[in-house]
Amino acid sequence: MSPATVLSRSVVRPFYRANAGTFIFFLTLMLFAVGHLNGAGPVKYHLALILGMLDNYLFLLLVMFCWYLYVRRVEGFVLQRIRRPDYEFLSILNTISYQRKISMLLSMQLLLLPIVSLYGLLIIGVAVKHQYFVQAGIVLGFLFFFHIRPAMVYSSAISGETTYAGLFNRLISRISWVNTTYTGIHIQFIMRKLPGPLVAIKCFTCGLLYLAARNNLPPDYEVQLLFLFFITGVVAHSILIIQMTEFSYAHLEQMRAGPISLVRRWMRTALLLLILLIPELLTIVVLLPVRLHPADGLSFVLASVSSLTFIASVAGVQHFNKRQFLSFSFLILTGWFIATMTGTIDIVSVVLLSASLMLYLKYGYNYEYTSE
Amino acid sequence: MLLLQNVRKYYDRREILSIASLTLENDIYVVKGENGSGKSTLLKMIAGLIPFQGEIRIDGVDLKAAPVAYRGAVGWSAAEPLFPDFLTGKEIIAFYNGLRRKNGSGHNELIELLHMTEFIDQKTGTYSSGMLKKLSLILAFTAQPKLLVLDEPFITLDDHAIDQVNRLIIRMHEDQKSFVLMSTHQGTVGLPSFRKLRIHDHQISTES
Repeated sequence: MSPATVLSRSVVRPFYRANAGTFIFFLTLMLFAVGHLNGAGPVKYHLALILGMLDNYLFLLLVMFCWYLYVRRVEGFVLQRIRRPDYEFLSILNTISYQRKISMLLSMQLLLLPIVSLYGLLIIGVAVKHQYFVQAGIVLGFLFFFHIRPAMVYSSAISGETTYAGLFNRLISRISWVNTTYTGIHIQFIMRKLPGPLVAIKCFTCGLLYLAARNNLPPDYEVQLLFLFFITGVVAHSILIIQMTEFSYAHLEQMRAGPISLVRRWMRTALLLLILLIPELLTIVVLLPVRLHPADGLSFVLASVSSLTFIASVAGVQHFNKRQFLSFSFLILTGWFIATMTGTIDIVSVVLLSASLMLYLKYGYNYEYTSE
Repeated sequence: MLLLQNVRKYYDRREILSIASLTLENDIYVVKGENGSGKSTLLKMIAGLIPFQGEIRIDGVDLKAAPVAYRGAVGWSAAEPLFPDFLTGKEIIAFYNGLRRKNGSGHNELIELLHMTEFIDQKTGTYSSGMLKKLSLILAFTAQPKLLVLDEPFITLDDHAIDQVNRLIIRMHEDQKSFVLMSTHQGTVGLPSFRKLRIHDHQISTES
């Protein structure tokens, strides 16, 4: 049996068996759920849909994002299979050349994503015919990414690597600072181990802030609701902070025993959080000065930095399980809601920032990590 | 001189260690005791990694009153060390040296002695537990501390590495006047001379 047949039987077939219902549902939706009302059939319907995507970049990117989520789901299914002990026989693929292995996995990915590939090619065809060359290039780029990246991820999993470092991570890991400083190592940890939650939180915070503020123009300028949306996304960073803290205690213990003062430790954490907040800060800058007044922008920045430093300080002095931490995050959100209603956002920010520093200075050495 | 005064450690109100007074002169000490007797807890307390009640001082420097100076004088290696799997051994050494503000290349000799040369540029995610242990020991020795605290330094090590670690301990003690505190379950320790500390029933006692 050839390696290609092995892949087809062990991965592709189980995938279709597991997802047959979903496929039938989507095919029905795409081909038969479109009636012939006013003379328009499925072909005209899809042509109109594609032209709509090509006319509007936001719509096109939204579709690509949805496809990306689907590709990640497929990737998750395949990885789960590959990493199963009874799938260890796939290590036979490590005996062939890398190029041959990748081309086989690429073919497998094509078999796993026929609808995405065919519909993508259809969009490119329509785009070229109607002279939307940039959009055609974008879709082609995404199609390439949807196939080549998972193939590389599978190859790395078959080789026995526990995590896959994407191109971006490989590039940034070449910067010495990223590998030899506390801040850099934690940034790498988040990007390598928590890319999903990071992207979701950034999309939520920055996307929601931008979309909500887009029409926030005088005389209907309103900042309270905008702030509540924004701070909800900021507090959601606690998911990243708790994982970062656990990583730090478990994997950097020898470094934690080093001669670093608590002030320096707190400042390193604050710098790390500031870097983590760069997308939010950029979104705020884009919205200045009309959609978000400079003073309000400053309040947003202060509130986000103080919230995260406070959460990090609490996580650094007291061990919480995930449920307790969720309750704690809700408590902070409630506090921000009261501050918004009473117009005391800046005061609460200053209080949180000071409390964060004092808490860490007083109890920073008292934390005892226990893995759950 | 290491001084422990009224040191107590509790977990969930359960007493783990109770040391009224203990003074250790500059020497090599091996802490013995049954599983769960508190050996690792004692070493972690002395390394400044976990909180406790009481006082711990090294040459008069108090862990709680002068935490940075105290930690500067202590080198630590864990029983089962973990490192970020996306960093190479060399990057971890650079990070550690940066924290301790050390620019020397003393670690190169240790890398060679422990046969780590061909692995040091690889990511620690590919290391075996023995190699992680060697990396951890390289970091502890590189610090050239006054007090070297080693939790189970020989587990997972091969015979050659055990021999080299013994030699390094003796060299650190004789040349740099470091004193060494370590725990081990190993029946025999390949050191020409050392003093024993035994933990029993939450108390610690010295044995000749």
